[in-house]
Amino acid sequence: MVLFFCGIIGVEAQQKKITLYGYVEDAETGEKLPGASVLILNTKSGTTTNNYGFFTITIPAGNIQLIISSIGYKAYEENLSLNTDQKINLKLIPNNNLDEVVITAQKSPAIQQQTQMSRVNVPITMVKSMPRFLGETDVLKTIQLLPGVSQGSEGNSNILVRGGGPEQNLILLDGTLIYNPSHFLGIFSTFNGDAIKNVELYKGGFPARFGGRLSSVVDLVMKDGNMKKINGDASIGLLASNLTLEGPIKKDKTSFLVSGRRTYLDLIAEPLAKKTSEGELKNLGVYFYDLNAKLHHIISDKDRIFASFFDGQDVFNVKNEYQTSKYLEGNTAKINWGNTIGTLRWNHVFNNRLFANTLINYTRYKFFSDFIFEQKDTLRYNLVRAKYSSSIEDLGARIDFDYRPSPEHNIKTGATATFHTFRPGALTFKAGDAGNPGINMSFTNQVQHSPELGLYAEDDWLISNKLKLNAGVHASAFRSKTKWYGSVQPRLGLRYLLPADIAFKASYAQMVQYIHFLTNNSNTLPTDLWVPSTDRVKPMRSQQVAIGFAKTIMNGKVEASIESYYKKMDGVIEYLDGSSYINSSVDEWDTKVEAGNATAIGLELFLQKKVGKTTGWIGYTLSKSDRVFPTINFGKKFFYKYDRLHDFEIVVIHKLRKNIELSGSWQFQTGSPYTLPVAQYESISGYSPKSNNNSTGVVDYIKGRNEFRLLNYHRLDASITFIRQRKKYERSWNISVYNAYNRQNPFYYYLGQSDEDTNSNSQRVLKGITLLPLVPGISYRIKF
Amino acid sequence: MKIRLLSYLLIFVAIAMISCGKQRTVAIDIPYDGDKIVLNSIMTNDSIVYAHITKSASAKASIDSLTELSGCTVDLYENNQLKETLAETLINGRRYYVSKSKTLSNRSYTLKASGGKLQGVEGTDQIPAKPGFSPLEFWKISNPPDSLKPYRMTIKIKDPAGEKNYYRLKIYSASYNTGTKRYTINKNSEISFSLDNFIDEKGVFGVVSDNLSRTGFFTDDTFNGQEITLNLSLRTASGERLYVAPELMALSKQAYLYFDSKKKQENNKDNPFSEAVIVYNNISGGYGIVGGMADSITVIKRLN
Repeated sequence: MVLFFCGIIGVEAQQKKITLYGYVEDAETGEKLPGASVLILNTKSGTTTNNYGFFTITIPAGNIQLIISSIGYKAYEENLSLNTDQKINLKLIPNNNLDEVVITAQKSPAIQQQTQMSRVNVPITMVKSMPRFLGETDVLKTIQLLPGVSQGSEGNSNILVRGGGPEQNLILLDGTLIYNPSHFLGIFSTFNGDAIKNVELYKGGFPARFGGRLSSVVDLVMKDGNMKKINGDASIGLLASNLTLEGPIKKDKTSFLVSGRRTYLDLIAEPLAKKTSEGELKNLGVYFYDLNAKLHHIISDKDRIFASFFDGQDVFNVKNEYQTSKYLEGNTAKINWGNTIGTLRWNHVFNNRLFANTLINYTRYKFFSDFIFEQKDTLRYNLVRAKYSSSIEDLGARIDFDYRPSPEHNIKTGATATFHTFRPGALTFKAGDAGNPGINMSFTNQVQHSPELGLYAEDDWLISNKLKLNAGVHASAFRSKTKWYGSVQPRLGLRYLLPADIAFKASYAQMVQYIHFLTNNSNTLPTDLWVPSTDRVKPMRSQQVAIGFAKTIMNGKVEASIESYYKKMDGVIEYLDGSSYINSSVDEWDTKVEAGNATAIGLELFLQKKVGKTTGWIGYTLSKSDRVFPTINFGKKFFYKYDRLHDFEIVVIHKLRKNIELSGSWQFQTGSPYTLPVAQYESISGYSPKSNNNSTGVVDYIKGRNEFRLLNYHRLDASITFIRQRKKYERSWNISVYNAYNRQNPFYYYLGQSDEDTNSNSQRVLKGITLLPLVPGISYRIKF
Repeated sequence: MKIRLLSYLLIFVAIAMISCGKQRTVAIDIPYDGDKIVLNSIMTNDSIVYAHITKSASAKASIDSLTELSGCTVDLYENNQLKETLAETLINGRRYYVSKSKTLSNRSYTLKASGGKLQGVEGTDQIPAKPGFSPLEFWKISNPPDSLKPYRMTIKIKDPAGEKNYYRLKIYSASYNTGTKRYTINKNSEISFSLDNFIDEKGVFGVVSDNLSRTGFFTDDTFNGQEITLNLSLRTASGERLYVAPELMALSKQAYLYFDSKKKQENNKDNPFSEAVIVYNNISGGYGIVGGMADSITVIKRLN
C-alpha cells in the first residue's frame, strides 16, 4: 500500500497542472451521482465519479472544455479557464426530453476508455421500466438478463455468474454485505427499487478493493435522500405496497430517506381462511417486508456522514386450534428469516487529490422456526415442540482512499476488518408431558467467531493514450476454528486502443472465499447455512482470465462488447453421494461434503443502448462449466448443475409517447443438466444362492451425474405503463405479464408415474412442476 | 375511451389470474439405451462361482421386465486363461450359471457372458486375501443403556499394510451341539449390531449399514497396517444368546463400491433432499457387478 503512494508522487510535467475536483449531483434533489462521466474534451482526458459522486482530475492549466454526463440527465457543458486548483460542484438536470439525445463518441462515457472489463452498469431507471412480476420491480431479476448471468430454477432470484454458484456473489448494499438477498423462497429479491440509486455488476477483472467471493460483485448504492424538498413515491400492486419518503431535515445540509414495502396477501387471505376453517384457524400471517432508512448530513465542504439501515424479513405464522369443553388440540408453526444491516459512513476530502471513505457496518442473517403440537384434556397435557435457529453476523470496519496524484495515476487503497459470528444451528426438541417431557433434547452447534482481515492497493495507470493498465493486489486472512488461512490475490487489467477506436481489454484476477454455503441442488432455502472453512474443507480459490473487445457504435448510442473468459476454481464443495443436506448435522458438515475443482469457459456478446426513446440490450452467452471431485461420480468430470450452453436475452424499453412506456424481455437458456436413470436392472445381495437371505433388488442405472438435459427455458415478459403528469404529482398504471405465452417452465423435477391414479399401465416419467405460468400484474404508483 | 381500455385490461388480468392459478406438471419421456445383459456375480474365495444373468429394462418399465436369460454362454477366466464354461442350473427356483472349480485369493477372474441377440458383456475382479481377524470376548451386561442391545463383543482386526482394504462385517447366530460337539452357524439368522468405537477416515462414527444394521461396510483408512479392536453392541433375541458367529469379509474395491453405492441409492431413492446416487458398474457392454470377497468366520461363546 505504501509503495503505491511512494514512487509515483513527484511526476513533474513541463506544463503546469491543476486539479479540478468536486461532486456531481442531481440538480433537483441534490442526490450525488455515482459513475457520472467527467470529460475534458480538449485534452481527451476524463474520469468518472466514485460511488459517492466525488471526482478529481488533474489536467494542464488553461482553457478547458468540460463535459459532465450521466444516464438520465442532460449533459452539462462549460468552457472554463483554470490556472489554479478548482473545486466545483456540478448539478445535472434530469432529462425528460423524449427526443433522441445524440451523444457523440467524443462526449459519451465511452466503454473503450475504461480499463475495467466484465462490468455492467444497469441504470435504476431501466430496472424500474422492466416488466414487473406481480407489480414488483426486481434488481436481481434484471441482472439475470445480462450475458454471463443465469438464474437457477424458474422464478428464482439467484444470480449465477460465469459458472459460479449462488453463494459466490458479493452482494453489497451501501458497502455492507447481504447474505441472503431474497424473499419468499428466492422468488423476490430484498432490494426495493425505490431506495436504490445505482447498480453495478462485476463478472470478472475484479478491482482489488473487492474480496471474499469468487464469481461476482453486485454493488448497490442507496439513494441519500432529497436535499431540496420532500418527495414521495407510493405504489400498490397485487402483491405488495411500497412507500418511499425523502427530503431535507435541513435544506442542503441534512436529508433523510425512508422506504418500506410489505406484502398483504395474508391480510386478505386470513379472514377468508378463518371463515372456511370453522373457527379452527386462529392466526395466519404470511408476508414479507423491507424497510430502508438513511440519513445524510453534510458537516462541511470536506466531510459528510451517512447512516443507513435495512431490515427485510419473511414471516410465516399459522395457528390452528380445535377445542371443546374438555379437549384442546392445537398446532402452531412459526418460521421467520431475514437480513438486518446497518452502516455508518464518513466521507472526507483531504485535499483536491485525496478522498477517503470510512465505514463501520453490521449485517445479520437469521433463520428461526418453532413448531408446536399440543393435546390437552382433563387428564393429560401432551406437547411436541421443535425449535430451530441459525444465524450469521458480521461486525466490520473499512477504510478506502481514493488518490489521484497525477493525470496518469488513479490510486485506490484501503483496509478492512470483519468479525464473523457463525451460529450454524441450535435445535431443541421436546415430546411428552408438557410439565415433564419424556424426550427433552437440545443440539447446539458450536458458535464460532472468525476474524477476517483485508488490505488492498491498486493503480489505474494511463501509460499512454493507447495503453492503460490497472494493477492491484488484495491480501486477506481468515481464522477458522484452529488455524489462519491467508492469501495474496493479484488483479490485473489492461486496455489497449486499436485503430477505429476499438478497445482491446484483458484481465486476470485471483479471488479467495473463506465462507462456504450448504445448500441443495436447485433451490436455495432459508434453512441454507453459511459456514466457515475448516481444517478439512479449505477456502475456495479462483483464477479468471478474460479478454475482449469493446466499442461504442451508432454515433455513440450503443456500447458493444465481446468477451471470452476462462475461470478455474479449487476447493468448491458438493455433498457426497447419499448425503442428505437436510439432515446433515452441522457440526459434521465437512464430513458430508467433498472438495473438488471447477472450470468455466465462455464467450459473451453484449450490445447495450442506454439513451434515446428506445433503450435496452441484447446479450448472448456461449459457455460450459464442469466440476470434478475425487469420489463423486467416481472421479469423472460432470457438468455443473447450472451449466447452460446457450443463454440469450433481449430487453427493449420504448417510450411510445410521453405518457406511454412499453417494455419487454425475452430470454432463452439451454436446459439445465440433471441426473436421470436411463435403465434399470436387477441387483445382487452377495449372499449364496442357497441362503434364505438371498434377495434381489432393482438398481436404477445412471450413466453419470448431470448427463441428461432438461427442457430448454424461455420466457417472454411484457408491460405497458400509462403515465399522467400533473402539476404536483405524477401517477402511473403499470400492467405487466410474466411469461406472456404461458411457457411451462418447471421449477422442480422428480421421477413420478405417468398416470397418478392406480393404473397398472402407468410408467415412470420425469415430471416437472410448474408454478409460474402466465402471471399478470397490475400496480398503481404516485410520485409527489 | 381510456376508462373502457382500462376496464378491458382489468378484466383480462382477472381472467388470466383465474386461469393460471393452479400448479401444473409437464411429463418428459425417459430415454433408454436398449436392452443389455446384466451379469451379477460375487465370487468368494475357496468357493464355486455363481453368476446370475438377467436382462435390463427401461427405467420406466415395470420390474417384471427384468427377466432371467437362459441359454447363455458364460465363460470363467483365471488370470486371463479360460478355466471353464459355467453350467446353467436352477437353485431355489432361480437360474444360475455355476462353476465346478473354486476361486482362490489373490487371483484375477473374468466372466464373459453372451446370449441371444444382445451384445456380449464381461467383468473382471480379483479375490482379496482372507482378512486377519479374531473375536476376543462376547458377554452380556446387566443394565444396558439401550435395553435392546444388552450384548457386547470385541473383535480384533489385523489390517495388511501398504494397501487399501475394504471390509464387510456380519454377525450370525450360532449354536453348539454338546452331543456331536459341533458348532452350527445359522446364516439365515443375522444379528443387528452397532460399532461403538469405529472412527472412519472422516473422523466420525461412520459405517454404511443396511436399514436393520445387520451389515457394516468400512475401509481401513484410519487403521491401515494396524491391529485394531472393535467394540460392538448386539441386539437382543427372543431367547438367550450363548453363541454368535462374527464374519469379517474382505471385499475387493469394486465389490465395496458396488455395495456401498447400492445401499446409498436404496436409502435415498425418494429423498428430494439428496442427490441421485450412481451405483458402481464394472460390466463392459452391460450392467451389473463381478466382484470378489474373502471371508473369515468363527464362533465365540458368551463369557457370562
